[in-house]
Amino acid sequence: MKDLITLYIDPGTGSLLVQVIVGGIVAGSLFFKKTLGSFLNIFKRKSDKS
Amino acid sequence: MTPANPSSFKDPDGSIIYKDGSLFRLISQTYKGHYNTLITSGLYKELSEAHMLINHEEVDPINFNTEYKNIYKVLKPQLIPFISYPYEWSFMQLKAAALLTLDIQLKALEKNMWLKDANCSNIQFIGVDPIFIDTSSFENYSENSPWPAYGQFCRHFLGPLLLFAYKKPELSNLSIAYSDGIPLNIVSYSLPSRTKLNFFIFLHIHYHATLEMKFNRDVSFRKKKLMLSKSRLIALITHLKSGIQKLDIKIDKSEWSDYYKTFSYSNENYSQKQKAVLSFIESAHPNILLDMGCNEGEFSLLCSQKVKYIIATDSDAVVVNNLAKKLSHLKIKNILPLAVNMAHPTPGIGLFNKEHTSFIERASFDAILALALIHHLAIGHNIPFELIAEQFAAWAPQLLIEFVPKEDSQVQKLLITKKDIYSLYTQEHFLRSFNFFYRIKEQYPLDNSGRILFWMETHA
Repeated sequence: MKDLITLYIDPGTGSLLVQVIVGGIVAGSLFFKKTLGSFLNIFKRKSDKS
Repeated sequence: MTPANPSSFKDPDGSIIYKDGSLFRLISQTYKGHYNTLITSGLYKELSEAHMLINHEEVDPINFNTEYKNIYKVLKPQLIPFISYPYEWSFMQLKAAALLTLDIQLKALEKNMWLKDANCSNIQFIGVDPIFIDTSSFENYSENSPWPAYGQFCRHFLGPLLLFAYKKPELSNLSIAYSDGIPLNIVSYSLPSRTKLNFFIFLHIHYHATLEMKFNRDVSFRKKKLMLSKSRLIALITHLKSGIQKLDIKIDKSEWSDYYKTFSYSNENYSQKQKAVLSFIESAHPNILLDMGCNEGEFSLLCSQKVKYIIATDSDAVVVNNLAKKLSHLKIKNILPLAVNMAHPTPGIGLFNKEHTSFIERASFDAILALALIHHLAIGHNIPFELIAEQFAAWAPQLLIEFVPKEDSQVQKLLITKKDIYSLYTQEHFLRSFNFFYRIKEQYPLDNSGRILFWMETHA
């Protein structure tokens, strides 16, 4: 990671940490939604065929 | 040497200077690599063509090299017709500015760049369209790093927007007190407790504020390397964007909304007033007009095709927001709505009180419309006529002002709860006071109402 001292604004350690946590949660929930969506689509396609 | 403008002293990569009456941005040698990526990646072209980023032309640095050291490029940016600040914007404008910042961040990440800061002063408005003005805010993306400007974004944009939406639109004024955005612990404390149950607000404000309090002073933790992949960063920005898109203010009614629908102007008086305004505009030909106490912009809209640019101000943040919505819906591009109280105009703030200049310093117009306003200033705020006249005359040479007599129902409404100490509130004293600065060019009486519109011109 870039040396924080050279940055033009102080990013704040709390703000950096919250991004790591929130980024993980949000990306995880997006992945879950996508997986669930494609899983449900398989069933949808099957029921459409029948 | 012309010193860097106080609005840009914090970032030596791209100082702003005024030289020979023009504005320039000096790009430093230390910013060379970032600037080159901005241009060669096509990001500048893409953003400026989409009217998201201010256009500039590169000028020959030869005239600057003797005065300034370490210059790589000199840019001459397109000028903004009237500079405004976030605490003068309505909810809708602040929301548009926040979304533009995030859209630019997403587009920059596509080109392996990002915004190194998310200060709301990076945005200005041309009408109700936001535009990013800080060309030296772009930096090469630092692989697997969290966004350094995320905290600043939440303080400058998300916090004030939530206070608007969940508390009161007037809370935008709170930004004046904090030069680097409203601290998140204050936002968290001020928001209703129920917002802790909102996943979006909990994460970006309440939880964020808690972590800030816990870790911002923790020196040992500061040295740790925190990693965030680009895909997670994009997910975070997209989450912020969709949360902000859903925000709205529930209030669209205030004491002054629908003034012209509910107030007792007869149709005839209203049409006489419209004719007077048009006659004034067609004769005075102002390029830049200040519509003071504009309410929901009825008369600004009437003049919009005949005037180059209109700054429409009202002290009521709700009516200004309604006007901004209307302008956006009607796609009218030359009216800038601002929440400004003429009895308490925006002060200068920041370094030397010049980082953001006061409304008075920025106020220079060709003409002023002051319709149904004088009684609010003279009786509502106890400002003597001569001080009002002096201020107006300093701002513009042409004035169309409506005198509202004491017997008028709107003036009587103001006097219900106040002792009548306004023996000088007469048309005679009004004219005597204004005659000191102006000569009357035309009068437009509104039949049977006692109200008169005066077109005045300052003494040469």
